[in-house]
Amino acid sequence: MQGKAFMNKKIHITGLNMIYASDRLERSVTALEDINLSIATGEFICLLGPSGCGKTTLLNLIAGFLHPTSGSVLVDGVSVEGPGPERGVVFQEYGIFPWFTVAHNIAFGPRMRGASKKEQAEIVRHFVDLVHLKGFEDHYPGELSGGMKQRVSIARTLANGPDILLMDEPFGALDAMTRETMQEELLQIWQLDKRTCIFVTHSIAEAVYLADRIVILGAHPGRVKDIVEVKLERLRDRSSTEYFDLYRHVDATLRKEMAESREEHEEA
Amino acid sequence: MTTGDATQEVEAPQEKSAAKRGRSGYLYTFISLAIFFGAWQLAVSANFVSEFFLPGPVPVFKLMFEMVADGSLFVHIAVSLARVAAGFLLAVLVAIPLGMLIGLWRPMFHLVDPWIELVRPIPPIAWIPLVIMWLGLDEESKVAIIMYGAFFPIALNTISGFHAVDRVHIWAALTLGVSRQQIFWHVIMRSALPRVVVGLRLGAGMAFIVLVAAELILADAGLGFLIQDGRYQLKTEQIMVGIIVIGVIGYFINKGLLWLESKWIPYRETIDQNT
Repeated sequence: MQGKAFMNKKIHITGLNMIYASDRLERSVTALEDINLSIATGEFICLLGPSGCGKTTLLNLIAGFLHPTSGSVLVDGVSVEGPGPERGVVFQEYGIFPWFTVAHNIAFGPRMRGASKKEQAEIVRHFVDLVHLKGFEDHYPGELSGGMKQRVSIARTLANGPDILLMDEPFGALDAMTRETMQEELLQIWQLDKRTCIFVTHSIAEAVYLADRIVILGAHPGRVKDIVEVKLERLRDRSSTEYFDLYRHVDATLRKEMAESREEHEEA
Repeated sequence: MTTGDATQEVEAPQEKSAAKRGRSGYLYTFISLAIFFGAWQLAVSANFVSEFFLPGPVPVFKLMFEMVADGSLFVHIAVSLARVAAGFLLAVLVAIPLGMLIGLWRPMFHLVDPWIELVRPIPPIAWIPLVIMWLGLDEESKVAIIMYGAFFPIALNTISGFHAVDRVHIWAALTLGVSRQQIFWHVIMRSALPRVVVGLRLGAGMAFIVLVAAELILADAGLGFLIQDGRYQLKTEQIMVGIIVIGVIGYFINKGLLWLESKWIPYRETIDQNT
């Protein structure tokens, strides 16, 4: 009924509203208002916006951790009703299990589904290699740096074989150098099989470096303000003129939006 | 909700220093002990205090060796440890299931927590007259007092362990396609375990601390009895033997439980800085 254009969209978000009832102040907070967004298979999308724009809420709705007040999120044409293994999530605060070693964390999903010891060992070997954690298999997360923890988290998510990768400011807690390295490694991994990827960030540089399309969200309430396509060849040169031009463009859009929302706020 | 007394929380640094203590650490321990016993002996030899109020190390250890030789000390230790073990195990049987229920189920928390907080400050010794009226003068009343003392650290730590299960861990497991039952065993239980084990250790320590109070209730054997009996017979050495043995056994119980903890929870040291 919706034609072909709909069919090859991996994720289809229509008329999405999210209102939090805040009983303490006896007033509700509109986190997201009328979000409409279609994401194609294999696309790398960055959700960019200031804090309070509802970008994490949007990601949590796609992940199925939250239920929308109205509107729908369709994945492969099916409405999202809860979390599922086809949508892997990488959390900002890592979310890896401190009581398991690196190897156990990575193999956790397959193990719970009854993978044999041999299969698990194979999975661990492959993904430990992929995220450059060789030699750390038997370490506990508490013994690792932030960057390494996030590598474990990415490996654990990938080892579960999701269709879609949802990442909530995964590098937000890392220092600038580690952050850039992780961005490069993530892209290299992503380019192997081009999974659909939705990546939440508040860093313009990160969004311009990673995304096929940058979805700029405005705050109070969270709305899609603009969508910027990034057509630069990967891996992108962080010092090229084209990169800077795009950076400036996104930066200007974001600033304009923030100024507007401030005015609206003051009027209200 | 408070999850433990200040006295229950101070143990982490001590643990670390023990782990890092090298050969020179033992030397300091030895020096410290030598100074202590030297000062003790000196205080007595110089007639600072009368032998009646503070017998020197020699008569105290002489009595201790006599009691070791005739085996009576071991009887007292065994009787006391049996009471501690019984009270501790009963406390575990009640505190862990109850703590789980309270920690996992909000309404239960609101129902029970005020009572826990109200009863917790009442020291075990305050219950002794009532417990004697209810349970008599035999083993039951002593075990009940010990159980009461051990109950709170175990219950409070179990509650906080199950309370503090990180939402992100449950979400992560859900996105990995893990079933609810698997989440219970591999995420919730695993996440709460370190706290529960801390509760067990503190509970065991508390059971031992409460022992003397419990043995104030008519007893004819036990380390607390030794102290009580020494008091009535004005045998200060006997009081001191009881005190020293309690200290030494308590020390080794704590060491043993710390060791067990490090075996069970190999990642224990690292959990706090990591989610």
